[in-house]
Amino acid sequence: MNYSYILRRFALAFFVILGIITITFVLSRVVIPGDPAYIWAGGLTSDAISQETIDNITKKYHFDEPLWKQYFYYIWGVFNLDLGDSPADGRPVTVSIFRFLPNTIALIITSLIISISVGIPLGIISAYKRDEAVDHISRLVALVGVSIPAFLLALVLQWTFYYELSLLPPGGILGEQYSLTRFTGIVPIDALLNLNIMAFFSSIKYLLLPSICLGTILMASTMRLTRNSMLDVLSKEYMRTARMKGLRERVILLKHGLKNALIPVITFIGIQFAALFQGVFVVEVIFQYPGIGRYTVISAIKFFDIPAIMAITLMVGIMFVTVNLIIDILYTYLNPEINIG
Amino acid sequence: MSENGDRRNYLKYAVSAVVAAGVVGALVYSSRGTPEVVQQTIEKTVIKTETVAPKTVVETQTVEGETIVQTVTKDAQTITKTNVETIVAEEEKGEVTQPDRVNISFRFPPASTDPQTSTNVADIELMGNVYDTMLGYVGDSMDRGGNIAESWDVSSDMQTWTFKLRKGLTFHDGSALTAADVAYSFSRLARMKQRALGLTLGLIEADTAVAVDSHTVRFDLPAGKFYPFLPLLLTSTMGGGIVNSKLVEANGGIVDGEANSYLVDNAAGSGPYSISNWEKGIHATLARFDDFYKGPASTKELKFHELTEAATKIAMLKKGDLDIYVEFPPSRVADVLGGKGIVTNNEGPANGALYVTAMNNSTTWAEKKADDLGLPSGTFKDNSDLRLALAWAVDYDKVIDIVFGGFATQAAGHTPYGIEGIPGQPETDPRNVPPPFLFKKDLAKAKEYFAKSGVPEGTPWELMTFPTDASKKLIVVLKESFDALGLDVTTAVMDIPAYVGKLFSAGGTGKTSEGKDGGHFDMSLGAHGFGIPSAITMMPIYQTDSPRGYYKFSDARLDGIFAEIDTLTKADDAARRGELWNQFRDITYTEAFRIYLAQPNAIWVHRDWINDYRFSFNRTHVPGHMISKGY
Repeated sequence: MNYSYILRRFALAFFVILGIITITFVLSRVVIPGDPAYIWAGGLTSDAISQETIDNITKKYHFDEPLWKQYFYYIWGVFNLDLGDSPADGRPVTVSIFRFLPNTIALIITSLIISISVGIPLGIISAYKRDEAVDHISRLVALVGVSIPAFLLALVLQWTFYYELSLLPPGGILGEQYSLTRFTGIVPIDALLNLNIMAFFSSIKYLLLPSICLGTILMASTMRLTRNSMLDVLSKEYMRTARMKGLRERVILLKHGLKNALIPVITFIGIQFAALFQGVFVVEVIFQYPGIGRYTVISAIKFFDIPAIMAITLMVGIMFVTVNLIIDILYTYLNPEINIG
Repeated sequence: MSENGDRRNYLKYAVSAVVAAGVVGALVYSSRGTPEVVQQTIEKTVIKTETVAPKTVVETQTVEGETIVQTVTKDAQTITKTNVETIVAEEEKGEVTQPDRVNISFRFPPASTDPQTSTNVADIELMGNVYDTMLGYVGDSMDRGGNIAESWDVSSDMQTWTFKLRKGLTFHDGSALTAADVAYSFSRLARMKQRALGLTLGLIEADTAVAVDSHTVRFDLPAGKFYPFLPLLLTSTMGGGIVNSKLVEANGGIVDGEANSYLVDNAAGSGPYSISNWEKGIHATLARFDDFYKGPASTKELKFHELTEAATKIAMLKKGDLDIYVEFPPSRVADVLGGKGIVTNNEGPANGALYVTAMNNSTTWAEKKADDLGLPSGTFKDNSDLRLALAWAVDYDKVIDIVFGGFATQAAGHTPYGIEGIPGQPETDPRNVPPPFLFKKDLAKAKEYFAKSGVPEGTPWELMTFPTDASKKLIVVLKESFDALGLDVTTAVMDIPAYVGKLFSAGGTGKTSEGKDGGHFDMSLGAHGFGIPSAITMMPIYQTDSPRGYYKFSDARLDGIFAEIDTLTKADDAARRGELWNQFRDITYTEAFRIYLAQPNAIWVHRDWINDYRFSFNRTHVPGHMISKGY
């Protein structure tokens, strides 16, 4: 394991995050026009606005101070995990973010599991059975998955499984008959920690449609990339050598072929993490799923809640940087021969 | 067995399975019995336009015994007929899925249950059922009666109001509601300085409300304010909801300039319902408060769902998982009309939204625009000819027909006749009072005004709006109308942050100068609430020293009206106040200070087991205890 490489990646990640903080600050204070204090005092929806309220807000959020001072307050707040108060409810935005973020993490993890557990095997089979019926069907499924927009797939799934078949709920996160003590904020895990197996199954039921929807989009791309990568690997000389040595087909495929084929796939999954986040905003709104995407679209943007929008942008940026850092580290494990000095 | 034999067997099995499924399905279907069918009607406005082609006719006239034959060419004519059409649909009666609960969709997700902080529509839908107010509307009328207050006295100068509270009232936690709670609620309104403070129009300060004894509250209003507004404030949950002072003090109390975080998620009210469960982002469940002094509500539970997608709401409505779809989009009426167990009501003009378009009138914008086009300074500022040209150019019939599908009424101004302060007025619902006149599309008249306005043909004109279903269609109709007038119209549909930015930024130079004069747009299309509270708050827009930089109308007549209204604060002045308000309305409407387009109808879609419910945003609360009265 190349530790100096890992340390360099961590250092770079830190500066990337600092860059994200600076860019979000500039966007919020300099680029977006208008007077937030006036809007937060009710200026957009009412003609009855109190100047005292405007002054109160201006003082609280330091809008009357020089820009460099506001930037300092912001940086100081970030490193103290104080991302400001939401003008919508007056509470720290971290309260809302930590309430909704675990739900989004649960959704993303489930979607990734679905996409990897379906996409990779399908890609392997498709490559192994190249040009046979299963290959054609898999590629057709992949094409549909890549082409269909997330919102359309979400509505179709909802109509089919909720309205027509009455198999799954239209939205939400947990059956209302269950009440759980919050440990992690991730409902299926909390259900297990509460030793409530029925609540666990209920939470999975609510998670199914949004994660199938999100997972399908990524699954399609994963399947195609795995297939192409496997085809490339299967044609290599060492694969022929392994066969000639008399190894079993499964060993050849999985031990020798898949490990090499996965390198670009894992990199791809890391890049697609950003795409998943885009899908999260739409999917959470349609399925009434209380995650960070829904909170951003329904509450933060509509209310012009700049502290919340900045905090969410920062969170997403940090998550993206972290995921790519993990991918880079995994890369060195998968192929230690790669020179990354 | 041979391969062919296998295939024949599989075919046999498949056919048998299909036939069996068909038989079973038929049996199941037939065992449903004959469904009960009810007839339902809904009215919509239908506008039919006929075009009569140009024709040449020979006319014969006899003048002083002489016969004159003339060949006359008649131009093409467009004849518009407006009718109200009744659509009849038959619907199958539905089942009651949850008899002890009414499932309602929120219009927007609520953020807080603090009545002294919030001014959001969604928060009111929750708070209106959970908090009680000093005064309230009587039944469906606009009459005001006592809620927490049983009786009251008003001094002759209207500066001192003394309320006697009902005895025996309690909060949801069982503690007594006393005068101290009322005084506390209004004190925190002034001290916290949050959004709701603006609604008081300066009437409430930290020590305005005083608890004289356990059941008497006196309001000593500060000098120089508009006192007749106080009853309105005391009727509104926004600002006027009474909180449990003991509970709030035990959870953060009052901190000057700061909101109370406890009340963001927890209510402290005495209304007909209490919040039993609130999963933020998903739903809020309200449980009936059996000790409510008006009697327990007929429905044990209300569950408000935070749903935003129309398709999801319609699906849930059809399945019976949603009972009331609040503010149903008119464009989707066909999806539910005649649906099993669904009733669709067109309840006439709604109070929720009034679509209006207005040109920018800020000095900064007007001078910059004139300068950019090489026109005399002042061409665009307070240009009433241009405003009237625009007003007469709009195709109002298309607005009703195409944009709202016939489910709207042409708006006739912002304030109804005889608003706040006219005694005896509530006998007639002010929404039904006929307007002075209605603008109609008259391109010839519009062009006459346009020619007088000094604005040349081909002047670039940007029209902006934010993306609601109606706005996106309305902007197309307006573009067509104003293009026909001679302007070169471009449209911009943008989300709230960008829209707000253009509303407030000064002439494209960046941040607004204290929000006092600005606006980087030519014309905006928006929607706002219609009704009595807004009438009072319209004054700042129409005064010369208006804080709203992008309108800033300068009209000596309106300034004179406001100056006189400000002095009329006594009870005896009500009639004169009413006259002045009517003058204000006539001037601003007939001279098109803002062009009022349409008032969408309230389309309430609900399950057929829900009877006698009433939602009224105009009353700033949802009277949940009236839901399913007839059930």
